[in-house]
Amino acid sequence: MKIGVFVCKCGVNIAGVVDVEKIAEVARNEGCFSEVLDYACSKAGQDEIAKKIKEEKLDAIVIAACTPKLHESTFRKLAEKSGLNPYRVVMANIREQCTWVHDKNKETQEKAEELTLMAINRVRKSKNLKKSKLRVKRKVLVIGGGVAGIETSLLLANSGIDVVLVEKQPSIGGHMALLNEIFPNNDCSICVLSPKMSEVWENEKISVYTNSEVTSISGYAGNFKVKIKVNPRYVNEECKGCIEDCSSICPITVYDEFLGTFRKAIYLPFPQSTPLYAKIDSESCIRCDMCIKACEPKAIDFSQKPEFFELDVGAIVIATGYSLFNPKLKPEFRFGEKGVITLLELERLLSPSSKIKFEDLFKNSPKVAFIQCVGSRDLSTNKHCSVVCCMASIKNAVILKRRYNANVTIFYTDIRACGYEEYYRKAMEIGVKFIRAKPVVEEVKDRVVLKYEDTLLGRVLKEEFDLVVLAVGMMGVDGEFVEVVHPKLKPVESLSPGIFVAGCASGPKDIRDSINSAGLAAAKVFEFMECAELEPYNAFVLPELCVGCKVCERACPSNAIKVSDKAEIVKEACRMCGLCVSLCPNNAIDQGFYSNEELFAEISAVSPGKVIVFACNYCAYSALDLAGALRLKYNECVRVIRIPCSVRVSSKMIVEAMKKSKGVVLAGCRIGECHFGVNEYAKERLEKLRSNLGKEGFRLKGIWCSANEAEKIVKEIEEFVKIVNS
Amino acid sequence: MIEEIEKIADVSDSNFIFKQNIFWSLEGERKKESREIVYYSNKCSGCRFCVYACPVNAISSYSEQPFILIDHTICCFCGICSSLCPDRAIEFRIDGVKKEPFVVYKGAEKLESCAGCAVCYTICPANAVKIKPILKIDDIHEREFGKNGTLRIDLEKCKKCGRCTLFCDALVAVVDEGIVNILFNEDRCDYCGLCEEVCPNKAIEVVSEYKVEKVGIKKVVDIEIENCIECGLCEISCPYDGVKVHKSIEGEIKVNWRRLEKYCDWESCRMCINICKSKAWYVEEGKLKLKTELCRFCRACMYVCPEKLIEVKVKSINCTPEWSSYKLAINRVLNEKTAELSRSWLLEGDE
Ligand SMILES: Cc1cc2nc3c(=O)[nH]c(=O)nc-3n(C[C@H](O)[C@H](O)[C@H](O)COP(=O)(O)OP(=O)(O)OC[C@H]3O[C@@H](n4cnc5c(N)ncnc54)[C@H](O)[C@@H]3O)c2cc1C
Ligand code: SF4
Repeated sequence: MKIGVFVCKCGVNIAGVVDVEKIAEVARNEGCFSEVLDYACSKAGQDEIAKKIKEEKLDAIVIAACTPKLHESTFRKLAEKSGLNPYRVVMANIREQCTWVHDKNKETQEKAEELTLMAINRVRKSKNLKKSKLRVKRKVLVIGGGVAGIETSLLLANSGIDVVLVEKQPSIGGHMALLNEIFPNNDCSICVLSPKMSEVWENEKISVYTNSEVTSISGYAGNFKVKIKVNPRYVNEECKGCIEDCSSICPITVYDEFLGTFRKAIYLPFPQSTPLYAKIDSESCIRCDMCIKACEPKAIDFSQKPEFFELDVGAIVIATGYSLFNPKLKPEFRFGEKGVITLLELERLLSPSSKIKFEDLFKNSPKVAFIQCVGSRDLSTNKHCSVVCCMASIKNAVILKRRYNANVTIFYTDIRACGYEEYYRKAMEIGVKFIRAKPVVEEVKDRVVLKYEDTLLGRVLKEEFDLVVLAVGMMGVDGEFVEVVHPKLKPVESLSPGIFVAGCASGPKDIRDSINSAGLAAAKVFEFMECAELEPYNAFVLPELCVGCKVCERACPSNAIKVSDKAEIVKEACRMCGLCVSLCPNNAIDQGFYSNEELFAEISAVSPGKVIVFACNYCAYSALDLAGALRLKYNECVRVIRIPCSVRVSSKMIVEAMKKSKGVVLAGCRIGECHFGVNEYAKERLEKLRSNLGKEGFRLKGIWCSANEAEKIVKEIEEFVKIVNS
Repeated sequence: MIEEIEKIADVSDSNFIFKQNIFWSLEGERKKESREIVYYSNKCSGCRFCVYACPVNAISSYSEQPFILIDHTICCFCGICSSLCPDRAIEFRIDGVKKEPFVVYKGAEKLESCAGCAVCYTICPANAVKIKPILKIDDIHEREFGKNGTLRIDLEKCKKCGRCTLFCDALVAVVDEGIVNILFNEDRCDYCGLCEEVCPNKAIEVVSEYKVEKVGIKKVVDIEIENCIECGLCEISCPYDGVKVHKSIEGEIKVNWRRLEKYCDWESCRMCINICKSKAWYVEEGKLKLKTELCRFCRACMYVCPEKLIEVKVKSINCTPEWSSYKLAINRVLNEKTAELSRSWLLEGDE
């Protein structure tokens, strides 16, 4: 096998710290072809590599340069173009994990050489692998019928894809359907939304299930099985949506948190509800059965039961939007007492469809205060900025001023009017007061007394208001927003392949950005349907070794393994964490690109007396790359081996690494944040091993961090190096 | 369209009657529905279950009869209070038809082994036992006194239930310091032997030449479930294990006896003794005592005790309604919470 090694200078980034020529020479001594390039990733560099692959008839290449996270795909494409199998490329990360984090000295040079050797050893064991095409069902599940879910559904349906839209509330529309006028151009919110709502309802390609929930998702990207529960609304399709007869007789009035206002136990969320069927809320309906009598079309049916059904879909879009911060958790604002309301409640009071009107509650020219950042940008609650509340408050302040000649003060932390600065200016011009302060409600009597420190004037003041509006922040529907692969470059891809995120489900957005992300999600779904490919990293069974013990079947987090006589792995379902590979007692399972042979070969190239770090590709490896970008220095004895997940490392592999080295670190995601949901297992395995090792146990350590915790991982590695060296 | 809602309150004897008439037009026809809630204050034990069960907080409570007052203007005539009343003191009717409650208090159940004696009839605190008049000996045959024979009562077998004494005046029950004795009056006996058969336990033996045909009456006791309060007194008193009481409410009663010694002035207060329908509180040897087996966890004593010496927890009400707001109502009763009507000031703007 002929191996080519290309060492990149990367300007002074690499060549300024280590002697690249010497690295090339070391490779040559290993019997490889080698060459130094100025910038391997540049066009000239790439052309040179391509030329050499052909000229030298290379079977595999090593690129000693930056992190594989940056350019692995570049060089794989290059290899493919040059007639080489793309998985015959291995990168030695001598920039982020070597020259950027160590000083120019002998040890650094040695490390760069050794990293290259490790890569050479690994590439010798590499195999030809092939991506496989994924067959994706042409049906998409959209969860959440807010403006984002609506937009995604329409875009997909109009491109000829079947859509199933599942909405928890009795009507689609989400929060936008509740708003009064919307910034930036003060359109009537429901007027611009309701045509879209009926378009969704009428579109033949979209099946809408309101009052419904997704109870489980199984299967894999391209072929998900979802279970849907349709909750009874106790009103059948005879309902004409007249609502007046039944709701006026209904004796129960309840406060609805989602709607931000009061309603009866039988209700339509808003007059434009789609579908236009009333719903009886079983939590508050007391079965007085009076509506049965009052309903002329006889639409009320208390015999309804929840219905369950199953669907096969190819992709899923999560558009579950947001929930609002519960202001009761901040008792200093005395929410719930007379005169203290949330911003959503104010929107509802001002909205033309509301039964309770602002002018019925407050006299003309009321004095109104807005308190910003309630439960946002706050270390004790949500740290993030909720993005829309500044603008929403300014919008409502202007409306109050125009309609009721109100005297409005906005108490802010910082005004975030990104993209709408002129709107903010206009508010100031018409006399909305802005005070930089975070007040507390001191007293609620006839009026609400606020006490605050004006942080610009440095004075503590008290002031009375008729109404205090709390700009409560946004949170994910279950408290947390859905995590995406990359907040900038992959903002709509969830961590599970085939599942996308649109709208506020992934973080606070205004309507414009929600629509943007809905469009992107639809495009991504489309791309996924047309050309989804699977990396060939999947686990596979070596049937001659399998004894059918079922250990793998029980462990697999993706339910991809079935054992009848021998284990069988559904390639499409395998998410490639490597847990089964590490568990199989007979080594009967292996994995593409992260095979046992390849990883052991990499370990074998580490010289004695070093510290080996197994770093999970998703978090720890990225954290170490980030440490490089931040130039956080650590000891040169550290050798990092990239793994797909911390569970991939078997006990045998750890023991092997410990034999070779002074100490071994297993670094994975924070416990509970594992992308496959299995790293508790890795931790357990590590702890068992540590106790089995007895006195030697201190040479083994686990680090659990996220991709941005560079400082943490470096600190912990440094501490560990000190311990094993003493 | 609703045309009119009429709400009326009325009192008759000690019962309160609340009425709601709704008039509406449907398909051009004027229709009427009338709902009634009747509160029998004499049956009420003051447990306040209804106060918590009410979804619109229309019921307020007092520590004296009548224990509750329903504000008929707020009342929405849903009948949840009637469903949860363990005393069956509230009745709910729609257009005159009584509506079945969703909580079914099962109460006392007469078993096969019931001998038809009258012990339960005498002791039931809720008058839920009815006894069919047992025939008297004189209804069956004419007695000729002065005959000879022997009548023996086997004291080992006799359970002192007194059934024989109800039948024939030759047998007399005498209560002496709480202990019942059955005595035999020779002068009133003609040794016909019918009492042998009346005795549920074959404790009487008659030897004579004049024995008469069978009596032919076996069981005479009936339980009226609508009145049973599930105290369990009959079950612990029945000499024949002839009754089982299904207690639908489970709970726990705790008394702070140490503080009770110090502060309780039961002789003048007697609140707990008077309010407890199942007679779980009683006085013995000059001391206030509690028979926990009798407690039905209604919390009435807890509410009236002026010194707050009693703590009662209701753990469960044996009922699994399907409708969620019923579950919520039961939960409110368990946790002594009234229905929450938050943020109501915002409603002031609703016309
Ligand atoms: C007070 C206030 C004022 C605002 N004013 C403006 C404005 O003037 N201009 C502007 O641009 N933006 C404004 N916004 C922001 C705007 O509301 C959001 O950008 C927009 O509604 C986001 O849409 P969405 O579809 O992502 O989420 P949502 O509108 O929250 O919709 C999500 C939908 O998913 C459903 N759902 C949730 N969980 C599930 C589940 N598990 N299963 C099924 N369905 C589920 C929900 O019921 C809901 O219908 C305002 C926000 C607030 C709070
Ligand atoms: S948008 Fe404004 S009010 Fe909302 S959290 Fe951000 S800074 Fe605070």
